Parts: sequence; C-alpha cells; structure tokens
Amino acid sequence: MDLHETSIVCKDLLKNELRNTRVLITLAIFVILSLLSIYTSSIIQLLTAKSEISGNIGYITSYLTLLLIGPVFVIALSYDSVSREIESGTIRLIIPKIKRSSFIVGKFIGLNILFSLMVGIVFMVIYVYVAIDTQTYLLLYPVSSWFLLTLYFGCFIGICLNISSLADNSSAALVLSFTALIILMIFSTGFKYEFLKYLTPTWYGFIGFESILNPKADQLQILKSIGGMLLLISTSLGSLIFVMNRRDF
Amino acid sequence: MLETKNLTKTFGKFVAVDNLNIHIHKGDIYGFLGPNGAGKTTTIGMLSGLIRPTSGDAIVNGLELSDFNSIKQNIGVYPQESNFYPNRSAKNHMLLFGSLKGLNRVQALSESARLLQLVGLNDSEDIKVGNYSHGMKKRLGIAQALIGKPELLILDEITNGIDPLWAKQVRDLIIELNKDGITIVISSHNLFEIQQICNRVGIIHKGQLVAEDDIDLIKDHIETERIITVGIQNLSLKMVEWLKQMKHVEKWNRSMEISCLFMQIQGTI
Repeated sequence: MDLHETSIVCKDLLKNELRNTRVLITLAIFVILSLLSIYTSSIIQLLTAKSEISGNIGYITSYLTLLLIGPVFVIALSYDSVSREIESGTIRLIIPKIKRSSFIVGKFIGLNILFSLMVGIVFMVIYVYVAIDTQTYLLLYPVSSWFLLTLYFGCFIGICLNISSLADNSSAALVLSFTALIILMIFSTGFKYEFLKYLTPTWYGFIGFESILNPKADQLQILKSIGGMLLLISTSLGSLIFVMNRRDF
Repeated sequence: MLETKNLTKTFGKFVAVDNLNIHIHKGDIYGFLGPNGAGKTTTIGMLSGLIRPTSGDAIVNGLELSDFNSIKQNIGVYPQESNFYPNRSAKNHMLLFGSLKGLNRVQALSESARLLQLVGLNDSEDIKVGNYSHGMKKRLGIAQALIGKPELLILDEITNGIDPLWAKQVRDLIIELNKDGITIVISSHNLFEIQQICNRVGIIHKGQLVAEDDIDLIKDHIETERIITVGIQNLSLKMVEWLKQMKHVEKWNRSMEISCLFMQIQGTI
C-alpha cells in the first residue's frame, strides 16, 4: 500500500461524494433523523426526570437511533463504491496506475471520514442542545459516542466494501449488503447460539456505550467493545485487500 | 522492451491465452492482430495489471510482471471497455490520473494542458466527458495513458467503433508518438489498420501465437500463391462461359449436372 496513492483516492472520494446529490440527500436524512431523536429524548426525560441518567438522555436516544438506523445509511452510501466502478469500467483506468491495496484502503478511509464527519455534526448539535438545556458541559458523552459510532460504522463500511468488491454490478451489491445487514442484526440478538453475537458490530456498539453511561458497569466492557470493533475492522480490511488482489477487472 | 514467457490465462476450463511468447523491441509499433475472442484483450489485460496470469510471466524493461507495481510507472495503458466518469471534465480526469502517477498539482496541470493539446481536446477540456463523442473519448484515453511520459504505450482496439476520419487521426497520432521514442503495442482485429502503422506484428488465434515477425515479412508470407477450388451451383450456360474466361481461373471442370461448375482459381491474395 502506498500512502500517497491512498490519500489521493480518499480525497477524490470525499470531493465527489460531497458533490453528489444522492449522497447529500442521504446525509441530510441521516442528520435530520438523528436530531429528531433529541426531541424524542425530551419526552423520555420528562418520564425519567428523577433518574440518574436523565441528563444524558439526549445522547442515549441519539446513540441508540444511530446504532439501529446507521447501518442502513452506511449501505446507502457505500454499497456501490467499488461495484459502480467495476460496472462502468472506470476502475480499468485507475488500477493500472496504482496499487490495488491503495485503491481499496483509500475508499475505506474516505467513507470512514465521511461517516465520522456526519456523526460528529450530529453529536456537536446535541452537545450544544444539552448544554443550553441542562447547563452541563461535559464532553465525555459526545466524544465517546462519536468515537464508538465511528468504529461501529467502520465495521459496516468494511462489510459493504467487501460485498461491493466481490459483486460485478451494483444491484447485486445492494441486495447482498441488505441481506448481510439482516443476518448480522439477527445474530446480534444471540439467536440460537450465544457466540454469534460476538461476530456482530451491533453487540460491541451496545456494550461500549453501556459502560460509558453506567459508571457501575464493568469497565473492561469498554475495552472489549473497542477491541472487538477494531478486530472486525482489521478482518474486513484484510479480506478487502485479499479480494482486490485476487480478482480480475 | 517487453517479452512474455509462456503467458497463460484460463477461466475455469477455458484457455483464453495459451503459453504466449511475444517479443516487442524498443521503438516498435507492435500490432497484436487476431479475430474477436482470440485472446488479445486478455493478454493486454495481463500486461496492464488488470488480469492476473494463471501461469507464465512477462518482462518489461528487465522487470517481471508479477511485480507490476515496479513497472507501472513506465507503462501507459488504455484498456478496452474502460470508461471515464461522465460527470467530470477531461481536465479533472487528467489531474486525477496525473496525481495517481505521482505528479504534483503544478506538474499535473502542465501535463494535462500539453497532452490535451496533443490529442486536440484543449478546447473542450472543461466539458463533462459524458457529453463527449466516442472519438473524443478515445483521444482522451490516449492522453491519460501518456501521463507521466511512459516508455511503453498499450492501446487495446483503439480505433474500434470510431468513424474512419477519427481513426485516421488516431493512427497519425500513434505514428507521431512513436517518432518521439515511445514503444507502442496496439491490438486490433483490423489487418488494414495494423498494416498502416505497425512495423512488427504478432498474430494470435484461439489464445495461441500463430505468427510473429516484421510486418513486411508477414505480408510476404501472406502474399504467396494459393490455389482455391470453388464449386458453384445453379449456373446458366452463359454464366459458365463467362466464368471460364475470367482471369486467374486456371482449371475448370463441369460436373455431370449441367448447372454445376468446379473451378480452380490460382494467384496472389
């Protein structure tokens, strides 16, 4: 992998995605839905006014909302990142010029930055909202939520890019990505076998935030959460590089 | 300059390229000739780093194809079935490809201007490529392949699907580039085109190299005398008499059926 080539692919992706109408609409829906969850949190706050966690309810609802609906947005923005290039033939002009690993890692980092920015915007707005509403200026919740969700989306970006690299057309990539999402969501519940949940980013996302919110919870949970998601990201990135190096274009 | 050693590609049980050994010298315009489905695009794909060979290797300037990352700086490629981003301009493409080839922004801008001028697209550099004609896209394809001053240019079916006037302009451009010292490999199924511009030719059929030599020697080989026997049915007597008197008809034999004529045509093809 070449860092210079990777940064060019990454910058190119960000520049073009942020000019793409489909991407901008998806981003707007993502941010609006996330912010709507704050208003939902106001209702919950009324019901749990005397609870320990009442001040953080805005973060909780936003985090949980993004944990559940976020992967759909990841699919919407990344399912055709590679398959579209294969389908249209643009990849045949790029691959002879750079290392294949640089190309795919550039795409991966670009999409991660995009989602990291989106989550960052959402939590910045929530921070301001909570600060004005409750006069508390603690950065722990928004920063840790942003960090965990960035890792969480990184896992799904890796899965989507793997599917996109293997598929020859975007329609197949879309169907396969949603199928994978449904399977992962079922697995995250433990399904029939408890160990299946350890294979899903959703489970790591839940335990991470649980340990941040509840100081009495096992603090090893946060390490398990971060470590688990980093392991999933490294596995999917390794698999991506392997797939790209093996396939013909 | 470029040499393949038993280069082979199989797709399942289908052998697309079978132990190919071609030799391209520095300064050549090498024509890679063969009918559709002969294995030209697969070979070009392997030489461009798009397709992984099943076995064998290629040597480019002393470097092995298996280490494509080392040789890619010296190669410019315009593969068949490749495409540009329709919503970006030619200049935008050239800047992207320039930076991928390791040029900084100033160098990429100057290369872009020089190459778009060379292929005659300088007036339409800001137009989105989606609005380009087929011929303009082909010329942009050559321009992007020339970024970074490659020593070897590989063009796959470059004049395929464009009108004769554009095709001639592209051929003239290839000859000009060769005069500047660039070795060029051009694949085509068009014998006329290969004869017009190439000094060496390799003929591929069903994945195998059937001939490789200087174009003049290949032409001599093709232009030997041949005898062809033709049988024609349902001819009138007047037509039979007319055919018997034709040039090159050496022998003729009328079959038992009055309407059938067998004749041998001898001459240079």
